[in-house]
Amino acid sequence: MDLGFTEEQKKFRQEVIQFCKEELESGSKNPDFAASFQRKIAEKGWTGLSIPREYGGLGLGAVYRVIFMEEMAYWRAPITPYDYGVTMSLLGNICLRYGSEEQKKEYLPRIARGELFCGQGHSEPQAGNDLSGIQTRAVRKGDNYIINGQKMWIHDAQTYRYTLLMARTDPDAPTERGISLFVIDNTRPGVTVMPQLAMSGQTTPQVFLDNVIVPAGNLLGEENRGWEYYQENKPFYWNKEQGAETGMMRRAFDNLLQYVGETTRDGRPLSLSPTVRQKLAKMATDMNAVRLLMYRMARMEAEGLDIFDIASIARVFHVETWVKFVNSAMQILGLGGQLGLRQKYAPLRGIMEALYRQAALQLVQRAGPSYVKSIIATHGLGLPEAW
Amino acid sequence: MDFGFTEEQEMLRKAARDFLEKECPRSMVREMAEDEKGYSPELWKKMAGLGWPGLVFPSQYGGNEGSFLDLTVLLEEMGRALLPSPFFATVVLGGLYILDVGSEQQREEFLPGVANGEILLTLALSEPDVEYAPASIAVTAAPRQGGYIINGTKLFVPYAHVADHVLCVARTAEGARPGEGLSVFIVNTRTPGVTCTPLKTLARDNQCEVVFEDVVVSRDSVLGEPDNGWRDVERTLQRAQQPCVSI
Repeated sequence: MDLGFTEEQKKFRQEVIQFCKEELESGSKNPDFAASFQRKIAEKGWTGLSIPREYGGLGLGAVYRVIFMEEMAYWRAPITPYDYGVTMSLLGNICLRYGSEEQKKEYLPRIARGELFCGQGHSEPQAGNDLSGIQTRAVRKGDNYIINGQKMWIHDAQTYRYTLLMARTDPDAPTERGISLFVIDNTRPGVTVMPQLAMSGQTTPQVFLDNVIVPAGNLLGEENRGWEYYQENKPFYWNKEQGAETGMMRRAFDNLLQYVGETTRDGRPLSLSPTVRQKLAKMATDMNAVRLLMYRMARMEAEGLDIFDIASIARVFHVETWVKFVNSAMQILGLGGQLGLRQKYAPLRGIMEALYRQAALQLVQRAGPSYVKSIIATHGLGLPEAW
Repeated sequence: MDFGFTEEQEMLRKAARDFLEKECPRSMVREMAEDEKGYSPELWKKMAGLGWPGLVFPSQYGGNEGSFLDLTVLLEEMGRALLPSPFFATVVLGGLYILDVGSEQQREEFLPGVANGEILLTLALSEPDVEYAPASIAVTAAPRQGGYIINGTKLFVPYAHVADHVLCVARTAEGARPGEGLSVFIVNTRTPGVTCTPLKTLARDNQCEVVFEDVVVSRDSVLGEPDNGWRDVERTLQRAQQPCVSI
């Protein structure tokens, strides 16, 4: 389906596809395949796709980043979408917009070289969706901040050296105005990462901070403006994450289409079943509508337009589509759909069972549809604040 | 909300709820999710002691003459407690099927054991390419020396790994119409050639693969009319839908 990409963007997509195909064909059995794959991505400069050239990046627009995420996920490349999303779209963007020159020189070239990845240290036991309620404290002492608190649901936290941490710097200010963002080195004394397994099979560890001493230079931008930075940049992050999830969805759809073409059930080809055909058509409709919204949003970001409203709508539509998508896919797969990865008899090698669990999690994770709908109601529709 | 249950049904519900709250706490449900058998034989014995597996069967087979609605009340409470047990498979898929179409000899052989909790049953229908329709059932039972020899693989058979007997839907003849040529056999799971292996399903709910490899059964093991079994399977499936909802 042609979504109106430029020739350069089409060429870039082909390059990513070609790269993934070649790498996956040649070395995916290799035990350190993931590490070497990521190194090669960095060598190509793709970890710094939209970082300006002066800071070591390729200086390409947001559309490229979404194409990159979509194709990486489509080919099931060994990278986690979250690290790229948080590192590039939150840390990268915020640093670029609000960081000091020193911070830009410190972080951006390292992100571009693929040497710096960070987890998203935002949620807490008492603050899941509404992050304005966070309690982790950062107290300035001379040239340092002393940080104490507990963070939850940090995807793959154990694999990162750094955390993009949200902490309260002014306890007396109105909740949203006393928050700052820090870049924390997880190897510092007092940082403890505790594994936690989600139903999706992904890890979402807790991170404990016990009198962690952080140099004042690791405060991103200005003190007490972290909330503002986050609000402004999270739509960009959602957009990239959406890129990854849409890639997974497209791949699953292609697999499903092939399966339907090859499978006979109860004596009849699945491809001739009216129910199955209706489901597939609906899935394709929603999936491509999600992609249209996603790329429109990326284009608007690249043009410097405000994407907050469209991002909220895209977020809700995307997650709800994803959930309906796996549901329909499961119904098409039938009984075999309940068998997971590497199980005998599992259709599509069990991938749908895993995606089904992942999709269910989308409903309850940070920025799930019900939370974003409440934002749409307030900001988009102008209804009074309800909580 | 008043659904018009009788006083006896309300009593049954309360007794079941009290019993299961005590005997099947969350810790038990969690433990059973990791358990090889997937249910607790001790708890099963206690349930049998209360007459639950025999609830719907006639007294001549050791049952309590309960109605299907009584059974549904009980199943709903089992669902409420998330009770992991082979009850549904044994009573609804197996026992009622035998009561429906079994010969007098088969009823006497199996139903008293079902009623007192000593016999576990299940129904093997689905296959890799078969969900619930008869057309492409590929497990075969070929006539041989006064009996049959069964070959093929059944999937998603609930609690087959602990069942004593599997009711197996197999093709005994080619039929002109999809449902023709199918017969149902009561197969002892200890018969040589029968292998039951739990599948790792999304809900970890004790569904199994059952492989039949040159399994020899006698003619007496045919349940219902030979070559014309599908009608009865369908009735069992239809009946199973209702308590399935209540669970």
